[in-house]
Amino acid sequence: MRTVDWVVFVLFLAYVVWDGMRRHKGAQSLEGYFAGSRAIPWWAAGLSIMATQASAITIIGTTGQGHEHGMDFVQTYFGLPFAMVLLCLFLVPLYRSRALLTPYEYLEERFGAATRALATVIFLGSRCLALGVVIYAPAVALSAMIGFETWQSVLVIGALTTLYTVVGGVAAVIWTDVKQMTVILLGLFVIVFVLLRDLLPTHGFGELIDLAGAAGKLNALEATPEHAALWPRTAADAGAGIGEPSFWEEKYNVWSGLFGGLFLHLSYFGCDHSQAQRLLASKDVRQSRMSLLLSAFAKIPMQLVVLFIGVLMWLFYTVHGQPLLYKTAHVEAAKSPAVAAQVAELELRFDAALKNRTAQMQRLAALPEGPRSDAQALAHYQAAVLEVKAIRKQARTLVGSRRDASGRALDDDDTNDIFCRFVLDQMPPIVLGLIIAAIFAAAMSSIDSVLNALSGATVVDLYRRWVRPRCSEAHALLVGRVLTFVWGAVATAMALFFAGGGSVIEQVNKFGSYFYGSLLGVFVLALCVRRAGPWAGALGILGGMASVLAVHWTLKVEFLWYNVIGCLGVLLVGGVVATFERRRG
Amino acid sequence: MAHRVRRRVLDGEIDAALDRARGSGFACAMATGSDSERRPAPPMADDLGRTYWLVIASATALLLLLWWFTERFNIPLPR
Repeated sequence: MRTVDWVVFVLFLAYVVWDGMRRHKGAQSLEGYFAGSRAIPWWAAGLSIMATQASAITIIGTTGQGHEHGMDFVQTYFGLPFAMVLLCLFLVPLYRSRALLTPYEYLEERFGAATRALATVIFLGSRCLALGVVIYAPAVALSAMIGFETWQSVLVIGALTTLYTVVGGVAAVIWTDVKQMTVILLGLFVIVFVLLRDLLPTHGFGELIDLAGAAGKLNALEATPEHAALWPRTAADAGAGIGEPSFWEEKYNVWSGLFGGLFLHLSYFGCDHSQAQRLLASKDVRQSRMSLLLSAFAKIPMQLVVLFIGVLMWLFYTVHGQPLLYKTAHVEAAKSPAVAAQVAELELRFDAALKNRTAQMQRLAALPEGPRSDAQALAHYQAAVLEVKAIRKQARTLVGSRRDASGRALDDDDTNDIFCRFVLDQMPPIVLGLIIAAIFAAAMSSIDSVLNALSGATVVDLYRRWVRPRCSEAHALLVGRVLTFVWGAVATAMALFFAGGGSVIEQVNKFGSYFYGSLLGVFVLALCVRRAGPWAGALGILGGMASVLAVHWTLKVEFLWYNVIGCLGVLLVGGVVATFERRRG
Repeated sequence: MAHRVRRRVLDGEIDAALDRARGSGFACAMATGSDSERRPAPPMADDLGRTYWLVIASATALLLLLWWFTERFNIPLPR
């Protein structure tokens, strides 16, 4: 990184910390600290909602997904606009008809303290786990980009974000998110510009689309399931490779996105306090709703752009040549004498495969009627694409550090390193600094909201409810600040110990999906099952979690469906218990 | 529909409050101590009905567009 990039990057960090800390004046009461004195305009709350969801993972992991697997990941967001409308209609008025500080306060009004405590603990546990990942991802990027050790990057991100969140509360979170979102959008725009500037002189835009499509990268909506079997395989059968995969094992298709995604986003935006805090901090019910609708309109297009950047990166590497290994650790490991000969052999094969892919690409691009007009040229191009992919996988397995229980080497995925390598190698001065600032912005905007939300839920739903119910506002505020610091330290420690195998973005969604369905289910139970009382709420939420765990242990089902299973589990158990509660009453 | 659900919520809350007042078992032991009851609620107002339909219509249109885009341009790699 050049000096000018360092200047841009450090200036941005200093501005964000200063901007967050100057909000301390509005954070002198519990409502000011955790709900922004209910004075946040809808557009700021809406941008903050988007910034929180657009973590560094969105930039690093999602572009990597686009490069490796195409655009299928966008299907996860298909349920989002519909979820936002449902939340506006049902949950927002519920929250704003009372002056809540956390959504879980409502659960006590409806079901009693046990359900509230359970929901709070689920939220704290799931968010804390995910937060470790959210800090870890940009730390990996930074260590690759500016030569920090990963633990040093984790400490910088964790410490700076915790500092301004402790001082400024939710107002600091939201107003820094607004600036961070601006930098993220600017960074994305610049990357698209640089990529197109490099690609368009050699290939027209239509040609690029054809080439990406012929490599299976434009799979934005897969309506026909790949597997028709509706009965899921057992986890044991799937592990042993017995039987045919079922529909439920497909990670991303339009159905899992619409239905699993609907439940995931209903829960994430409506019942996860790290997002719901914006609904509680807006000026009134209308502004809360409008803040959600901003995401409803903008999220899928934004996600499409991010994934398309990944596809453009893949095209860039296809046109200009591609490194065999993206991960710095892999490049270093490849120099080891133990594997040097095998790596050299792979490099020779890789060079030949790249030349073949370029030749096949040029042949395909020259077809006036598009790639489908010459089946043979298309087959050769696709075979060349697969060959490059296979050699890269062999190289990752050879130099990577992942091993199974028997010590056999596993594919050490580098999806999260592709973007970093591209930016580091290809971005001009100042732009590199801006993009690293954007990655940092994305990380901080997600971490700060979760820290404030974790602290808010701990103080309001646990400390003031169970430990010191009659404590003064000043005391609760002090505890809130201390807990923000403690959660920051815990999350940073978790990130330090986090072993980041696989795609980080998937891991975050997986963590959430284990718990989110149950969290959503208890709110749906409250809304829709009039008979449900304290036992139904508490046992329902436990039943929902038990059903997700049971499915996870016994059947092979992809994680997006866990949201549906958890929610239905709560409704089933809660509904049955509610019947007995009514009889007893 | 929204009105009906809101109505149910209200009814449910009344039931829960009655349960607590009667001091019935679990509900009594877990009696509410929520802060929210002590704070004033903001005014409720909404004129966003058309915006909801706009969200649904634009999301549906986008999905149809992506479907067409995928069918037109994407050619899956052989497995």
